[in-house]
Amino acid sequence: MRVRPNGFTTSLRAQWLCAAVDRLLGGSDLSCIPALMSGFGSVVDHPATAEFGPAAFALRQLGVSVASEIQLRQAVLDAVSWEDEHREDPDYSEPPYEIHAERDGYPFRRRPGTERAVDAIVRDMVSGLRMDAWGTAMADPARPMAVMEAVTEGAARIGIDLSAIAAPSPPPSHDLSREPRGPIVVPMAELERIAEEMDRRDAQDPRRQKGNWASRLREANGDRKFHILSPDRAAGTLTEREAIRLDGLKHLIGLPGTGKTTLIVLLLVWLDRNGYRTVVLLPSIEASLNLLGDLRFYGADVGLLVGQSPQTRIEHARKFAERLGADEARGFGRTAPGADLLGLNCALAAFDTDADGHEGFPHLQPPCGGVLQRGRKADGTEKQNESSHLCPLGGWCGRLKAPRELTHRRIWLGHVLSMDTRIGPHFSVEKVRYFEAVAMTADLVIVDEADGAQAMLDRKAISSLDLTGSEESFEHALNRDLFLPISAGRNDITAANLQNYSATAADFGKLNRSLIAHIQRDLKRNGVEGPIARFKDTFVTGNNVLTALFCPEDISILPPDERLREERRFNAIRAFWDGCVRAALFRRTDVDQGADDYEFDSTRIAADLDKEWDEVERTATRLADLLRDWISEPLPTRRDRILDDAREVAFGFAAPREALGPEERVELFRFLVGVTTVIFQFVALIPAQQAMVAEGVHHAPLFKQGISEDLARTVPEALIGRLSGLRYHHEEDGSRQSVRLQYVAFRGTPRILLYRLHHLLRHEGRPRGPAVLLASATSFLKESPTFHIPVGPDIVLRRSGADSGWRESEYVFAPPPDPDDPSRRLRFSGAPLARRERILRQMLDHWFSGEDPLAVRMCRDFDPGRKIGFVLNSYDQVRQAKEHLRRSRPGLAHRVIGVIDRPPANNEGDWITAAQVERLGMREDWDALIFPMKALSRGVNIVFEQGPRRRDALLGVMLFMTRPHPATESLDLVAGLAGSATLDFDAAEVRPGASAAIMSAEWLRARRDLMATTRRLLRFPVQASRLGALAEPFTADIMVDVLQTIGRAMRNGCKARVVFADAAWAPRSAAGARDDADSSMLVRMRDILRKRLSDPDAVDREVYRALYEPFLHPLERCEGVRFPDGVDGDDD
Amino acid sequence: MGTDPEVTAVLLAKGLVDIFDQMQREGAPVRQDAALPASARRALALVSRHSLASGLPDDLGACVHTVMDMASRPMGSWGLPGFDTPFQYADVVLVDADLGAPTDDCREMARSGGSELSAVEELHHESLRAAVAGYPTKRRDAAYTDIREFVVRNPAVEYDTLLRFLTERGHAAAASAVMSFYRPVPQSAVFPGGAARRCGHCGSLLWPDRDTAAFPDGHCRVRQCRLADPIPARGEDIEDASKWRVATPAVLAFWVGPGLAEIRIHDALRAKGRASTLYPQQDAADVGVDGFAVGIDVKTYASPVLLGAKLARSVGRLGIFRRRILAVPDDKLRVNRRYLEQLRAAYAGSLPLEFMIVSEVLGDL
Repeated sequence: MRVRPNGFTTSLRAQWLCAAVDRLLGGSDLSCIPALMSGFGSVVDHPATAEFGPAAFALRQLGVSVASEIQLRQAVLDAVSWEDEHREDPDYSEPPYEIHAERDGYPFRRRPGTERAVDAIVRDMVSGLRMDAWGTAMADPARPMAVMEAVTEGAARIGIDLSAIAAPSPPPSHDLSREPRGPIVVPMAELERIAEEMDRRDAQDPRRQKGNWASRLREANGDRKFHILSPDRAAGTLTEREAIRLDGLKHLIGLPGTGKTTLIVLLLVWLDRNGYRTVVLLPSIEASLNLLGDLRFYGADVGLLVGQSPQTRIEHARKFAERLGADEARGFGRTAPGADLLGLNCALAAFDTDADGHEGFPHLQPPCGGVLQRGRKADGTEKQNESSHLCPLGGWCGRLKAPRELTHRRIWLGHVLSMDTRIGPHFSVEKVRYFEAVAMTADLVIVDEADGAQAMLDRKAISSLDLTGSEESFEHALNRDLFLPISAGRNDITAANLQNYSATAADFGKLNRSLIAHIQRDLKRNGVEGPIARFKDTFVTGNNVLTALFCPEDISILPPDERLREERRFNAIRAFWDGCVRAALFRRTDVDQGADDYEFDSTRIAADLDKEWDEVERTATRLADLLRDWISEPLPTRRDRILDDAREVAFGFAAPREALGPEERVELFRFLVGVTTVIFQFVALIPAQQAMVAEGVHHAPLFKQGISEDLARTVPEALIGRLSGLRYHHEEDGSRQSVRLQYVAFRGTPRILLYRLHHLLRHEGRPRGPAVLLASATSFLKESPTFHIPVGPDIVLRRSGADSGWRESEYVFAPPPDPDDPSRRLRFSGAPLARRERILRQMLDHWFSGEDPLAVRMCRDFDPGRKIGFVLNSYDQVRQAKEHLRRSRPGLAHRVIGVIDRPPANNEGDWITAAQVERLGMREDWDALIFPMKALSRGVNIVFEQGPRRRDALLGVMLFMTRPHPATESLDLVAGLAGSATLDFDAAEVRPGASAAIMSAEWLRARRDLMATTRRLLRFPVQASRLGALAEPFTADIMVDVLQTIGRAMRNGCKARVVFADAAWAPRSAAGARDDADSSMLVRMRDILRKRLSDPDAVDREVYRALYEPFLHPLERCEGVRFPDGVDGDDD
Repeated sequence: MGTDPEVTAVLLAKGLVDIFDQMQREGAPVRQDAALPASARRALALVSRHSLASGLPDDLGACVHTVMDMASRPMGSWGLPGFDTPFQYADVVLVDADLGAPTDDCREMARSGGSELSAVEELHHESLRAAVAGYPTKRRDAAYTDIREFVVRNPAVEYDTLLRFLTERGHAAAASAVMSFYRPVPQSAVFPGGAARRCGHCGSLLWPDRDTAAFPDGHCRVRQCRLADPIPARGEDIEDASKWRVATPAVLAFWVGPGLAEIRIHDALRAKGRASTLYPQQDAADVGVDGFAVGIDVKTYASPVLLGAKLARSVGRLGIFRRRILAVPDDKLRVNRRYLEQLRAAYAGSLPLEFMIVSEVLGDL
């Protein structure tokens, strides 16, 4: 977060834009601003706009967001209004530019005598902004202090006395002045030397399982086990290298088991020995802790980069506990490396001065930055009031050990999302996030499973949650986690914050139902042509509905003056409305004497609406009162009458659009009230979730916020811009029509962090950032918008003799016959919802019935000793499958392990969480594993832990019970397409002679194309059959997950047997006919892989071959599939 | 409070047993989140406190997993200075890591402990006995009575008065023990304006309450005082709180609270001219009358059933008196009219006891 320069105010941001365009581009209007201010590298690094780049960066850092026409218009209107409002001020100084708000493109003119002011503005913009400082003092341990039980009104106070102990040392700070050292060259010979050194270290500890590092690099005969290749584009070949050069952005790919992990571990130890600062981003914190344990053992200086919000800490601690609790001791008396970095107990609690205090001490939301103490005045006396201080134990306590250690550790291990964490005030004077600190100071960033990290970042661009109308909805979760337990007797928590949450949640439910009832009523009365039907499947906000009610049909055809007037009128109505609704919702028992606290400026609203100030005040208090009554009144008929009154008051104040008929006016106003109140109430509930996780009410936060404001200001805006609001859609459930209400927010393109991290702060005078190495096995598949990494590849790992294993892999399409009609095959995906559970049971019976079940035989006759994995789509399906086996095969069920999100109490180890899966390698008491595909793909290795097959994949057979398909409301594909198109534009090479106007036109075109695609996707549920041309990217995305899952069975170059057991994979083949790419996902997968393996670029083709031949080879021969070109798997 | 390694060790044992029992009951793994029992959370914080007070570079108490790992070794090897030899539990191992269960030692310590306050009270009691053990034999019982009576009658006391009591009554040898029963007046007990207030009923402090309309003078934290006199009474104002001391929470809970009724009985009997002694024979009973003729114990349990069960296990040294009275404060009948009846029914001990409320005792004797 940057400090605002003197003279910068948000209202005058358009003036600063004018100065930048004027001086740095030589322009005289703002028409190109949305493209220039979107933050794209292709634009701001272009020679024609290079001087503008630093200004754009600085302004974006200050929160100037003008990446769309609407935002720009608002900025211009604000600046013009500011002049009107302040012209009469005694110290008024006229801003340097006259902006013509009524003309297209907002031309501007520099006023005479303002050169020096403009010089100063430009200087501030291009010379780099200072980082903002925290400014929070440390509490003085010698004096009394206090903490609050919770951050809620009415919370109890706990006195703290540290005077009896010697104060611990002050916390260390990050050194942000360190600069990256530049290119890194790692000779393979040195890695071999490191490997031998690590083997010697292993030998010193007889209890430790040996890493056999040297033998991972070379065969007994001295041959390399894997080769490091890099492309020679001129020659069109991959060439073996004896050294790895890391500089700028590099992409490394290698199949699972080709030595990627080995290489990364050796590389890290080498980097550590050579004093480099390295950040490694892994698929999970659990994976980070595993690596941390190993690296600590080999003496590396390693720390854990982990999110520090209370709920993130609780979540990681829970997963860690589950991992420890995998055996029958359930974690009692157990620990593992890294436990010391995940401690949740706050040491300050032991210094309370009051015996009544410690029950309520907020251990799970500790007061690290909220210790209350009276500060000191300049004369040394105490101030009158207490203020928040930093906890004086921050330099020592276990709770902050992980972030404290990072100030000096050479290697940081963590998750990509942990990078978007702000460094706490104990450890940095300035408000800096880890991604910024890394961009400033690290030498190298390694992103393991980079395609997964990319998908994870894309998903952070979208925050969505069903509000009501489904079992996953927020309202349902409130009932399950909050109201049901309380009503059933778990009413022992009386904290003020819980009561507050409970009351707000109850109102939220009421408002939801009111809105749903309205939508349902409209549907019944008017079918799909009612007044509010236009909002179905769009992003509805109060703003949209206000526009429909109060704006002329097409504002752009109005004459300039009138258009400006209309825009001001609309802004005034919006501010007025929002203020009234907020007052009604959040100040429920106040009696308004005036609208002083409504968060709007009555004078300005009066001017823009051509009203008297008194009328604004009077109407606002009346409207807020009516809305309060509407919220509180239980009787529907009376509520309707109150709403009628409110409508008359509102329309009497601001006339609705003339063209609207009476029914439209009535229904739109009702919809406006419903939408605004639901959104406001939802947004009010969000911050409290954190506290509710700490109170143990919710398992995890229900609504995950998107990226931080700091990150959003650093990466480009998404090409589709920002979207947020409610979506609602109807669902048929038998004879019933239900309405599902969803809240969605879309912002930014966090994936670009990966691609720009190596020079992220180039516009702030830091041209050199860390080298970045993106590593994965499936990050190179052009058709996949979510997973493809369109860089390089620069380093390819290829295992010598890796062929031998996969050539024996076999794929089979084998849906079981339908017991009700043996001429048909069982089809799960796509079957009516009501039938699916039965089909699942029938499938299980097929695989598990008999004395010697097929599931067991399939392992035995393929690769004895290995086990079988059943892949499903969701935890619910795992639950159903396990339950069915428990009833139908009680003698066998306990040997089938189910991977689940919340294991049932007192289970006997046959229900585990994803965090416990890797421990299965040490257990003998199971035959099969049932898991949802997404729970177990990346970074999870189930391997033989000992014996002759050590490190080989333990699962030998993967059986896909269903054809994977995202939920119909899933936004993953939208996120992937938006991320991919935005990345393409960010990296596009705009021709050198292009002007800002041409770049702006290019941006508009790219934006239009993407909008057309995403609109279509957002309008309809995601169903393979409805996707048309998008079926290919859709399949490619799913295929990456499928290949990752199959990859779990191919570790260490093992062969795998894959069974596609759902007829939906190739429905026509199941019926005896031929499939094509439109009917069968298997055919489309084959076609995509074939296309890649015949890529016109020789190097890419070779890379694709190395990556995908092990999958394509058996897929082309997949038994049971009748391919369209007449080559049937059975024929092979 | 809570700096004694004994208290921490006992509470940790209890916390571990609570974790284990909860785990057995619910089948969930050991977790640090809201599911962690409060006893364990408090014990971990106390381990942190010892770590910091001992100047260790690391906070050993922040994580339950690392503490469990430590607890599978003798406490003396944890690296905490207060926990190594000659600490009485230095050899104790709390967790059997192989079995994944608390050890027998751990269970025994947990049983002996109860809550943190009762563990502290036990320590206070022991430290007072140890202190008077240094007196000439003949003076020991009187000294015990003298000191404990002083504490019960003066739960908040000016520091000078306390010193005077110790010197003038010849208790210099017990000074450090007596001092440990008190602590400085906490900041949270000070009212806006800077003064603290004494309770007009029991003499301890009145604490500021957020609800200044209902409790303009604050409220007393001694439960038995509030039960006996539900309407708060404001006593003396303490202008300079730094010159005063207040009894520790354990002393308030286990000595001062029950002591209110004990003092009432004692004073009334003395007024009648009876030979009454408080805490005779170093706490063989709460009040002794006419030597060993009558022994009165006052109990303030909320549940007559639990009290009956406890007495059935042991009545302590009350058995040395010829007539044994178990008295409960009058307010017990206000809440539960059948309290005495239920208590008699629940008492299955062989030693005859008389059960009555305090005012009955006064009428009877």
